[in-house]
Amino acid sequence: MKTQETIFDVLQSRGVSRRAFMKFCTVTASTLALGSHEASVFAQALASAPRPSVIWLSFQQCTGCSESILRSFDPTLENLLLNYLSLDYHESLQAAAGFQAEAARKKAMADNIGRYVLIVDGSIPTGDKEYWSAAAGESNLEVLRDAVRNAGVVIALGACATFGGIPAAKPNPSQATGVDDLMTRGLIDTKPLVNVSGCPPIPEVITGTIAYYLANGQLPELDALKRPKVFYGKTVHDNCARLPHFNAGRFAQSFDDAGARQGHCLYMLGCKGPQTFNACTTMKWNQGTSYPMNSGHGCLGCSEPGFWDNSLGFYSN
Amino acid sequence: MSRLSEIPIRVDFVPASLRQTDGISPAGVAILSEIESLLEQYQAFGRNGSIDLRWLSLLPGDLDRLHDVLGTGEVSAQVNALGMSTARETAIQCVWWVEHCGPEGESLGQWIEVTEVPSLLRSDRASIAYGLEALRDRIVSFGGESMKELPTVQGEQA
Repeated sequence: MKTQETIFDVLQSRGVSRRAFMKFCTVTASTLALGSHEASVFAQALASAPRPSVIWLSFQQCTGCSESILRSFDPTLENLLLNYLSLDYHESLQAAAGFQAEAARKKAMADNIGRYVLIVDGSIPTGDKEYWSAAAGESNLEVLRDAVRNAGVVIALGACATFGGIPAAKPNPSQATGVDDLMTRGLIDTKPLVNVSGCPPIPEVITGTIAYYLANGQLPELDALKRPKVFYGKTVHDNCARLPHFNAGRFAQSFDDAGARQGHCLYMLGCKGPQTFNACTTMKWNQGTSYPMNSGHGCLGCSEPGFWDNSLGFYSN
Repeated sequence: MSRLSEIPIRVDFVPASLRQTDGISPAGVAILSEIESLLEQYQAFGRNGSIDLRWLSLLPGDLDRLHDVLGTGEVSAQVNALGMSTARETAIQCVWWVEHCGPEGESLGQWIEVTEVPSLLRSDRASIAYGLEALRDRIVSFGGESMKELPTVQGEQA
């Protein structure tokens, strides 16, 4: 009987060294806030885990989520797992097209029944608008329903796939909704689901979530909105560099005024940081460069449900 | 939550007495105590340990102070794997300062490792098969003949 290829086997055969893999494990374990012993166990478990199959379905979306995570042609720690290892189907990235592409997706699903990781970005039109978004004669909902049926875990990626996002903003012309809502309504099977929200989500968050699942065979602890607590357990306000000014009652009154430049809190300018659970202020964006409040703009609250409709607008509180 | 007064405020106040410029902050002292504890464990039981500095609440200058306290040892190594990583031995035996950087040079985090040699620096015996394959290809590409291809030596044929 042929032994199943492990993650480390595949990486080595593709020229990724043990040191590079160790580095990935160390940084990812740190991202998951694992202690030193747990990090060692995590690395061993991930190395010996079978090569995963990842099927990535994109529906009503802008490709921003893919750009966020797979933006680089060079291997980075964030895209190592996906680019080098496991991505069996991604409409924007794969070379195949048409019937060949659809056949590749169905083969990957058939070969990995009950084991593949299904990533969904984009919202799904429903009701009498179901066919407003379709490909190869199948509606998004049909494709999703088929793919969810035998998935090991489903990762809803981004604001649209988690909570509907922009397509679902009022008046929601396509009756768009997210994966969790479809499961709740019984329109697709209910499977283990993790919501990685944000517009777009932080690359390390999706990598960390997948790595945790592969190493442990289960999802990390989730919050009430099915988001990994390790990444969404605190508000961006909790770790904002402007927090001391908030505590001292110092608020910028307009963008780029003297207070804003001195780091005063942007709450009066509409910052949604206190209501927004995400890891922007700890993980930061663009390979650890910065995050919105650090760059002078308030948080838009993009990782929360209905962020386009729920607030008084981006620039008021 | 729509009013400022509804926002839970966490007091983030550092007393002036703790903002030392010449000494080391309480957070720095705590890290040094942790290193001491890890070293004792390593000495007694041979159990490696590490401290992830990425998420610790440190004051500006704390890492520099820690560097100063731990000093510089004899070994400094760089590893180029998905970006540069450095492992620097400190002046305290078996205490290493490891930093991982990404492809653009951005720091991904710093760790203090208590061990004889950081695992990052070790070559991997389990990977020899890949190395052998590469070596044989190179021997052939340089006009040589891989030992694998050579006929077996006399005496082994029996």
